[in-house]
Amino acid sequence: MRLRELVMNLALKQLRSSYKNSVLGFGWSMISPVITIGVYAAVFSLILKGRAAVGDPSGLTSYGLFLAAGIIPWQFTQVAITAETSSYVSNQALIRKVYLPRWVFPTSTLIASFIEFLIELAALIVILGVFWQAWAVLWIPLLIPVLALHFLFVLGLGLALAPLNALYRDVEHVVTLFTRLWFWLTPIIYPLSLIADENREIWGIPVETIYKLNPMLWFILGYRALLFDLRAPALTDFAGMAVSAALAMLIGVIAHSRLQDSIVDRI
Amino acid sequence: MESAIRLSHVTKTFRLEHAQQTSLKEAIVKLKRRRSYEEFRALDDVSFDVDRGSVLGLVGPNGSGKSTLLKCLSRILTPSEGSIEVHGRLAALLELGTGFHPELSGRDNIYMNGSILGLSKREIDRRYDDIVAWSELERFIDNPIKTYSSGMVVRLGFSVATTLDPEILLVDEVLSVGDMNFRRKSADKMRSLISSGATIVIVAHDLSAVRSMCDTAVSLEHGRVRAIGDVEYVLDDYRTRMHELSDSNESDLSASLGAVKSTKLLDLDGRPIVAADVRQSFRLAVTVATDKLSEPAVLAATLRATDTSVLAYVSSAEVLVLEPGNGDIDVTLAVDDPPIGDGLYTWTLALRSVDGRRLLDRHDSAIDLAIGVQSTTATQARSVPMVIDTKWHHQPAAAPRRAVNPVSPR
Repeated sequence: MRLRELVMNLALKQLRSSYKNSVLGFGWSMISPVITIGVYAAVFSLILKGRAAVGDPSGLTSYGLFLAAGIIPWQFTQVAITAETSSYVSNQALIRKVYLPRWVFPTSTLIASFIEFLIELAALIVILGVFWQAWAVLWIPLLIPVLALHFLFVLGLGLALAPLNALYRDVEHVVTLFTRLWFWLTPIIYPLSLIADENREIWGIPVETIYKLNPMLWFILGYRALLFDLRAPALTDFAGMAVSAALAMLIGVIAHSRLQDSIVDRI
Repeated sequence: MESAIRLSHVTKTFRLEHAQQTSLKEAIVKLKRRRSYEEFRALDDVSFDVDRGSVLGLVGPNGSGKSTLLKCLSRILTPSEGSIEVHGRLAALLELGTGFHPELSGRDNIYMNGSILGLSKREIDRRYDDIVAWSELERFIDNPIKTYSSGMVVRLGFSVATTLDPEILLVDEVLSVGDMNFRRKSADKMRSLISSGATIVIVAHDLSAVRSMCDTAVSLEHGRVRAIGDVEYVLDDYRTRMHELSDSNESDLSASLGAVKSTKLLDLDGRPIVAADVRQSFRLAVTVATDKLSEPAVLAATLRATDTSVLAYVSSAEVLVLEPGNGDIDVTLAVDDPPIGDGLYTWTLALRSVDGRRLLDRHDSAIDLAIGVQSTTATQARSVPMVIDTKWHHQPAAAPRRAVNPVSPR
């Protein structure tokens, strides 16, 4: 009970202090995805004349909306994992002086990113509802399990990475590079059909099969179904998300409980 | 009696890496090579119980493991071996204002700090007015903490921390900060916590505070328990031990280059001492081998606290010039009624050229001095023992003069 309040307070402190003394405040959390979406939309739809995926059954053809449905969840994933990874190092002053359950730090960092993510999502849904399809809001209840699984997935990764980074500072650099690569290997700015239709193979394994080993794929498919196709995600998508979240949490909890005692000695 | 804390065979080892290895590359490279580190035992098989409702003082020289022990008790550090049982709601004050954020207002920080220390929002709401009133920050409470003076931050931190009313409180010397008024108020607050029956563990260098507040004490040395029991007994043992240590340190200074042959701390009757009571007059006796001097010299003495801050500087320049070739000369520096508070101090002695510019010989920490460490029964009444004024109001009666062997008091 008290811990829940503490985690929320730490998260709010982080949010408040990062936008303190800035005129736009939370506005900055909107501007970043808007610019990113704008840039990709310009590059891919105007210059490369990329295939505009058609939302099924929504009939949406806007490449910008297609991007938004993928990039907003992706940016949350990337920002949260990076912040979680360095959460022990950046809170070392606190960790050395007061005992709090260790998991409080990656968790509150994640919640701070998650709150920003929810605000961005809300903005997207409003835009979708007002300007395109009012019935987009009908799918909001199904967004909740997707968000919950996504949250657990990122939490699990953070619980494993944060103590590792306390032991070896290299981890945060590796994470930064890896997430950059991960972005391109996940169908965010392109549809999965681009891969699936080509029927390409690497060492005799269809590329599509390899893609399905990427846990982020399932979350992106889920969000895109709800926010662009405007339909319920397929059961296989939910299964993929659930397995990803469960595996990440399993790894995270085990790694964290093994490493947590050496955190203070090493930061 | 029921114990609030029980330590059994607590050992904490740190690895002293020969080259600090914090990158993955080095870790992988080192997998092949034999890992190179030695183990340092900060705590070595420490076992004792703290009874419920008792006030325990933890004393020991620097590096004896006091802070490590406190961090183990507060679960910040995990013992390498042994176990610690804690019965009751525990709060640790290792630092005031832990987690204060400079950009947030005093009000926001009260809630933040409170929840870090384990209070719920409702509990803080209830105490909010008291916290603000105690810290005397009503007018500033909505300004960001970065605009506060350090004294204001400390007041706010202490105010939040002591509203916790914990069953077990661990305190690490946080009381020895701030001005007189703050120290008096914080001492009062501690006393009211004690009288409310809380179990308290205090780490302090300020031995008069330990003596006035604690009923039992533990003294540590090199991570091991040296003495445990009644506070008078433990402090007495600690003082004796410091005596022994300083005896073994009594170095033959002439071996080390210089003209300062020996240094001694004496009481008014000319007996060697290592500790003095508050305001007790004492003498510094220095033997100078003037034959070793290359030029006329003056003697300078610097008094430092254990944290190496300089409290006083005395030079014999106006009074006494040591000419070369006069054999051994005893010089005595009389310090009468020194306004120094309890604690551990050290005198550094130096021979300087007459103009004071060139250093001819110097002995850091030549004489250690403990004030108020003697644990004889309360000879002087301390009105508010927590308030120790370490300010040097004026130069002590410094009268270095030519003294005839043996040193005799005036």
